This record gives sequence, C-alpha cells and structure tokens, in this order.
Amino acid sequence: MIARRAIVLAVLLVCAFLVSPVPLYGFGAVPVLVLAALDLFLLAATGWLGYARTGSLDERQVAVRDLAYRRGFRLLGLAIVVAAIATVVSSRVVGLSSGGAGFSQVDSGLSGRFLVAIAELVVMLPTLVIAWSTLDPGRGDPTLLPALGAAAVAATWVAALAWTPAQSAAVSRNFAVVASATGSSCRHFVGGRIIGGGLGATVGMRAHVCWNGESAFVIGDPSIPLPAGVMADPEDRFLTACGADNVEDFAAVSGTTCTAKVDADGTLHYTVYAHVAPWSLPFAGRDVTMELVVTRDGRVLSQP
Amino acid sequence: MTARTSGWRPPPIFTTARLTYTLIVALLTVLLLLASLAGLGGGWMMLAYLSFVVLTAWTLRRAREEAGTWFGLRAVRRGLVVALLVDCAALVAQPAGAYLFILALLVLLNVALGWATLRMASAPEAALDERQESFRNRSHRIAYLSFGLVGGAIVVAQVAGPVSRAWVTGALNGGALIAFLELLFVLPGMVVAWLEPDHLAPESAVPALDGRARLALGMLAVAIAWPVLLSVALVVLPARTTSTVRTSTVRTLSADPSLRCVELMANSRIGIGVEAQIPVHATACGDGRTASAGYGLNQSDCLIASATFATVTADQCGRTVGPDGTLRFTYGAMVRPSLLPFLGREVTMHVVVDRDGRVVRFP
Repeated sequence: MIARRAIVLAVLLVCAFLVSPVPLYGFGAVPVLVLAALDLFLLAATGWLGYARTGSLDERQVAVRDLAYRRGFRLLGLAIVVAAIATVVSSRVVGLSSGGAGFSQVDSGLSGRFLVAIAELVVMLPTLVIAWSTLDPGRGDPTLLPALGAAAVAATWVAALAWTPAQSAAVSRNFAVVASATGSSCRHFVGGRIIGGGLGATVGMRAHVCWNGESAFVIGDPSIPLPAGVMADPEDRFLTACGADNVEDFAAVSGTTCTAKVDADGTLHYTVYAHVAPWSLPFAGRDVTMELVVTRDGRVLSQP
Repeated sequence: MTARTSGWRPPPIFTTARLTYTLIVALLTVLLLLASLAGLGGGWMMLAYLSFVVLTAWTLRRAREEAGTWFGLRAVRRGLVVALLVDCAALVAQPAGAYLFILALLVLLNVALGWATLRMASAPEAALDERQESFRNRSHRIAYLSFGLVGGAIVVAQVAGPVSRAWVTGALNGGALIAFLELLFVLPGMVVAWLEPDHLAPESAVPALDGRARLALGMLAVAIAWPVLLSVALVVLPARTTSTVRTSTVRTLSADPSLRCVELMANSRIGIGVEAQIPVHATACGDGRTASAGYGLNQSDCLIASATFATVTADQCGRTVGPDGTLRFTYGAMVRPSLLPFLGREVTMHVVVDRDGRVVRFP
C-alpha cells in the first residue's frame, strides 16, 4: 500500500509540474510517458477496478469502486479549478516577466500541457483514490503492462507528430498593436502552424509590415534594415519577433529563422522557417515554412 | 420548567446561509440604488427580477421539507434535469442579451434540484442510510463517466482543427464556462434526480402543502414564466409612441423667407422590461419647390436604437424625394426578444414632409 501511495503522489506531482510555468523545451513527452507508465502500474495494481464491469465484481468491490468515483468527482472539481487558476497565473507571470512581449500573439487554444494534466486526472482519479485508500483491491498483481503501455503511447505520439497535417493557428484577441513609419501605412500580421493538434508544437509568426508605394518592409526587427529615409522603431519585439510565438512543450522547435527580402517590384517576402521534431527523434521531425508576401501598395498576396 | 434543558443550545444567529443572503441582498440594494441614480431603463426590470430570484431561492430553501412530496415524482425531477440541460445549452449558445436571464434561471433550477433530491448528492454520510449511500455513489460513477464524455469532446474539439479549436476557446470565455462548472459540480445531483424512483407514498394521508410551500412553488413558477411572458409581451403589446413636431430654429438662421423647417422627435417604445426603443430625431425643410432633409434622416440614423434583452435590426432605411417635392423617410426595424429569438415584430417609423415644409405623416 505504501508503494501505491507513493505512486499516487508521483502522479499528482507530475500533473502539478505540467500545469506549472516551468518551460518544457520540447521534453513534454517525458512526463507524459512517465504518467503512462505510472498509470498502467496503478491500474494493474488495483486490478483495473476503476474500469471493471459491475457484473464481474462482488458487492464489496462495487462499493469500493463507486465510493472512489464519488470522491474522485469531488477531487476532480477541485483539481480543475486549481489547475485553471495555476495556468492563468503562470501565463501572466511568464508574460509580465518578459515586459509584455512574452504574451503570445498566436492563439493555440487550450494549453496542451493543461489538457494532458486534466485528461490524466479525469481518466485516473478513481483509480488513484482506490490505490490510495483501499488496503486490498483484491484484483490482480502488477504486470509488465506499464512498459508496453508507455511504449504504445510513445509510438502513437510520434506517429501523430510526424504525419498529422499541420493546422493554422488563430490570432490572439488579447492584444492590440499600433505602430507606424514615416510616410507609410502599416499592418500587423500574426499567424502560425500547429503540429500534432496542440499536443506537439506551434511555430508562430509576428511581423509588422509597412508600405509606402515604393516598397513594403518590416519594422521592429533590428536584423532587418529599414529603407532609406524611413523613420520607425528599430527594435520592438512586440511588433516583429522571430520565434517569440513558438510553443515547444511536446516537441522541439529548432533552427527558427526569419528572413525578409524585397524584390525589384518592392514586394516584401517575409519567410519563417523552423524544424519541429519530437525529443531525441529527429527522423520523425518535419520542416515548417510560412511566407508572408505584401506588395508595395499593401496588397497581401500570401499569408499564413 | 425551562426549555433550556441539559445539552440544549440556542440556534446561532450568524449562519453561513444568513450571511450569504445578507450579502446578496446588500449587493442588490446597491445595484438598485446605482440603477436609480443612472436612470437605467429596462435594467430596473432585470434588477427586480434578480431580487425576485433571490427571494424565491430563499423561500424554496425554507419550504423544502413540505414540498418534497411534490418533487418526489420522478417525472417532475426528470423534467427539472431536462430544464437544467436546456439551460446549460442556452448558456453555451449565449443568445445576445439573454445571458442574465439564463443565469438567474440556472440558479433557480439548481435550488429546485437541491430541493427535489434533498441534497442527497452532497449530504454528509451520517445523514444517509446504507441504501442511499450506495445509490449516491452509483450516481457519482455515472456522472463521472458522463462528465468524462464532455471532457473528451472538448479535447477532441481542441485537437481536431482550427475552427473547432477557436470555438472551444471562444465558448469557454463565455457562458460555456458556467455550463462546464455547472456540470462539474451539479451533474451527480442531476443523475440522482434522474434515477431515483418515485418516493413511496406514506401510509397516512399526505398533509396538504402549507402556505409557505405553496408560496414557494408559486414564486418558482412565476420566476420561470416571467422572462417568457415579458418576451412574448414584446411582440404582442402595442407600441407606445410619442412624438412632437415644432418649427425648427433653422428657419430663423436662413436668409430665405419662404423656407419652412420643422424639427421632428418621436420615440417608439415596445415591450416592458424586455423592451426596445426606436427613436427618430430629425429636421426637414420645404421652400415651396421641394423638401430637403436636415439631420437625422440618413442611413446612419437607422442604427440608433436601444434594447434591453432584445435585439433591433434595421431592415428598411431609405430616403426619397418625389417629383412633387415631397420628402419621404422610412426607418423599419425588426425587434426580437433575446430569449425567444424566433419571435419578432416589425416597427416602422415614417417621416413625410411636403415641399412647403408641412408634416404629412409622422411617425
């Protein structure tokens, strides 16, 4: 029973870690695999009592299982409220610590790590309660299932990252940008690509583009020179930033490069490139390229 | 002999429930005062309704023991659960302007649910016998699995694609969050209400509902029906239109002695509480040859309307000058109650001024 309680505590700690603001740098698959292994161990140790059919249980086991669901439901409510508050607070902390530029302008939806933590609790809380409070669930012993289950989860995840189609990310509604350059009209562009359906990584793009009839150009990024005679804020990560909107919780985003080229017609080609790969599995990675094309009179020919 | 026998203690004056109700009443009082200071129109009705909801909830709580027999019928309890689910769906759909009504209704239905199940889902273990405890636990298991389906649907919507993801994000910033929390905390009670069989009739004759219980049931019925009645009244009751026409000061500023200008003001008010106001404030002149518009007779003036728990959509807006020099302006709007958006009525305001600056028709 002590071992089961230790594993229950470990599961809760991993869930708390997932909803904390600690960056994962693409290693999010590690806590997920740990959770999968611990879950399967607990399920085996409790004889899958939480998911057993009533007909296969005696009266005492039914009572234990149903009581676990009641307690689990209460704990789930508490956990969701606490996790939601922790997620909001942590995103605020991260955003404010970077002077506002850290707030993502790309809306990737609900955080993948938050979803994983909550899904873990929804699936496992009754089993956690049984493992914590029951002296002898009376069904089965630990088996090799955890190792097999973790491997299955890992394989499914890698396959999803490698082959599911990339999805376009929406623009966050929680910010507004106003900036200008002398003698020019300007517009703020935000976009992104989500790999792995929110449980992988997001490659973001933010660029503030101006045009003056002669050419279109990007402002706010010191690595991209302004046209002669144009006055604008030379460095403002709120306007233009390379990789600032990337989310790499469950897969690593590497080699992010942003280039701006103005062709002979004065048309701007702003290109963002990145490589997304699951942790330590480069063969399952994929390249992501986004292009923004704006003419010298402000027409948008292409955008993510 | 005194009532203060050994072990007896006087009931506490400051209970959690009393403090909560005191806070709610104080909050509503402040809101009512603010509304009176701000000259809030239909907002008065909403505040009055919220006050009534609080009063109804309080009366229901006090009368639950007596009225438990009526809610002992499974069909009634199932109807209550269906009403709760419909209310949650309405919160997710979030019709414009009806949010507070739906929320207030949700509060009432929750109180009624607690009354119908005698709060078995959250009762202390000592208050239940073995059968009730077993039944409650089974209800929680069913509720847990049902809630898992809701959570699974959210995860699928989040992962499936950008459109469904945007919907989830948008919905959870609005009423869907309330609906989610409702399911998270009340779903076991709903399952209890749905599954529990009809309460056995006692062998002795059931005592008739006492005055408080009747009052509570009546108030509950009124609280549920009130928003619907007001919504229907918006469509059924005649419009209350006031108008004034007076000579405009524009004439005094003009050098043309034949110019005759009029200032027209009208306000068409529809409904009570659930209401809309469509105003027209314009000037028009006639010089003997043709009438011309001053202010207030343009396309942008057809956007001026106000509504409380209703929507106003301009569907006619046009100004013409006929060959005889008569100016005609028509502002037509469709008014719909937010709670019953499939109902609606057309309200049309007319301004007709002839070439001599005389008002032929208004409104």
